[in-house]
Amino acid sequence: MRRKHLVDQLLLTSILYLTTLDASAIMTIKPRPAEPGHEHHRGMGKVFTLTGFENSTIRQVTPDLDIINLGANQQQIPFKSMGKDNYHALVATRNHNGVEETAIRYIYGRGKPTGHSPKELTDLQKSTLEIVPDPIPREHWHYKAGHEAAFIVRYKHQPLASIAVSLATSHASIVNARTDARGRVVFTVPDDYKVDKPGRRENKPAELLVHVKHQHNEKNYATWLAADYEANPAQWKNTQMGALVATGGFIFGAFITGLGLTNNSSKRREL
Amino acid sequence: MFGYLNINLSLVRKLVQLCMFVFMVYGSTIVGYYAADKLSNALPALSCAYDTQTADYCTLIPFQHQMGHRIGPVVAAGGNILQAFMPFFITLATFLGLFVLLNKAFCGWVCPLGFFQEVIAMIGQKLGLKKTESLDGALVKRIRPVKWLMLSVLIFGLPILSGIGFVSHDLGDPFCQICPSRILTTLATGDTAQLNVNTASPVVMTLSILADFIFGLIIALALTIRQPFCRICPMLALHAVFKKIGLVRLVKNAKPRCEKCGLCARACPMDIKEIHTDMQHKDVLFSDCTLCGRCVEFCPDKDVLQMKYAFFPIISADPQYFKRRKKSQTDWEQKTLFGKK
Repeated sequence: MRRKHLVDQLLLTSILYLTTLDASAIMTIKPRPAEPGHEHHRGMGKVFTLTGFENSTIRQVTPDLDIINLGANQQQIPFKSMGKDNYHALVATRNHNGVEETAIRYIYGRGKPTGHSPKELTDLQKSTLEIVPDPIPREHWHYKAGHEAAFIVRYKHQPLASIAVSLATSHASIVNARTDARGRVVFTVPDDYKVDKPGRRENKPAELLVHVKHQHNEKNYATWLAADYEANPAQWKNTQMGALVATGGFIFGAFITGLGLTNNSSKRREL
Repeated sequence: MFGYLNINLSLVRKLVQLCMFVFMVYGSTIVGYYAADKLSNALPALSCAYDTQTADYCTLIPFQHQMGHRIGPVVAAGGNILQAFMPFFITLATFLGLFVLLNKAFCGWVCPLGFFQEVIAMIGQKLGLKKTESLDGALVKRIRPVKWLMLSVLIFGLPILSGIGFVSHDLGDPFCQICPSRILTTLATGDTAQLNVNTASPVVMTLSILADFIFGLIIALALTIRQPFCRICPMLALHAVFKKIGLVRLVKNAKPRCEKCGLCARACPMDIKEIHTDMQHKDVLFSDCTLCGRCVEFCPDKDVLQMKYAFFPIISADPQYFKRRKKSQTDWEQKTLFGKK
């Protein structure tokens, strides 16, 4: 299991490195592979791994927008929800070969409700160049293969129009798109996650990485947003069959009401 | 009040239901997308969290999750049981906070599934289908306990057993898995994903087939029978537990004429015969009542039936209103898409 996860990460890093068309390194925040015997955490353990950690500083932004400094130059990032329920953001930044680089990951933490909407977290400027989920999947919702995922690209907190954005997956797919006038880009997450066993619980989430780079006044910026995504549920959920069964229910209902199992006495007119 | 203002209460209720349907199914554009932005996360009506555009969602979802994810594991492994119950108490308090305001009127005025069944009934009527006037009394009595079974087994029993580990984790939210409102509200947003046969496991497959079948069945039944799913809905049972604390009340000032009349019971979409036969109690808010107010509308005797908000009458039975209401109902029922009956 651990080896498979490492292979996935290596594959994702290689794809992005080959397709980013410059020499900048990849900077991502990913869940640390689960220890043997703790696979039930589904890769969402409390420790995350930062790829490209040299010269980096790491912060955690809580749902109520507290900013906690988690240290610098460390590959392992411990994540604690601080008892605050809802999405937190892990943000790593560094200057690398003249490029201002940022890696962001949004993580759901358990705790007491803070009374703050995740929109406040996404609205907050966390780096000069930033990819923001639009929206973050709601509690109990996830990015899914074969389904749309939308993001907004911002530079200095302003939408960045018509810029190339890439989305790569740990299943060796990459798709490219360009933001619209509002800085928004919509991808269909590649349907590249084939499952051996049907069911959401039977399959660990895979990784996706959204990347954009930008140059302004001869200064270079690059940012990566990491998230997990799940296999397309259409592999074990059949809508046509569902419609067929519902039709069966309808026919059965029509049949039993037609049989007159209920009292239709004309003396008891309904109002 | 409605009689004095010459307003048809049923028409007002339909308009409120339509507004609430739109708000409950598509209202996230007003209140925000994220679960944290919702009004309460414990609405006393079947407004579904699977609908990503909903403005709020049904209290039965957190109840099941708290049984399965918080209380069950603590019961199984030991730990602070009071702490495990805290989220449940918070949800219950939120539910009660709303419930006090409208009581069981959440069923008759707010619930999207209740409104959907009424719309289907109107379609059935306009198609000229023969309406089932009233369900047989014996059948109604047999159906009534089902809602309590649904509440105790599907909302609390199976989820807590799932959390303890006695039954499959797939039974962690069994009511949601079979709830027709999940399919209805998601379909209303253009999302067909909830109408499916799920082959992930035998348990899940059984539940998904049951859900689809019930959804189709409810549509067919609602064409000719009033409020078929409401009769077995666990929300109706949950409301019944707390009906004494709600501010909206149904009051009966029985008169001897009541014994011979019975129009109120015939008007009741839930076939509550007791509204007619009970001559003793002033409080006639029965467990199956959805506070739709039809019994008050169709009571021909002055002030015999009243719907009150705390001590203030909202609508009282009135002979003049009754005549107008009966005429409008007759006119409505005579017109179908294929001409007058």
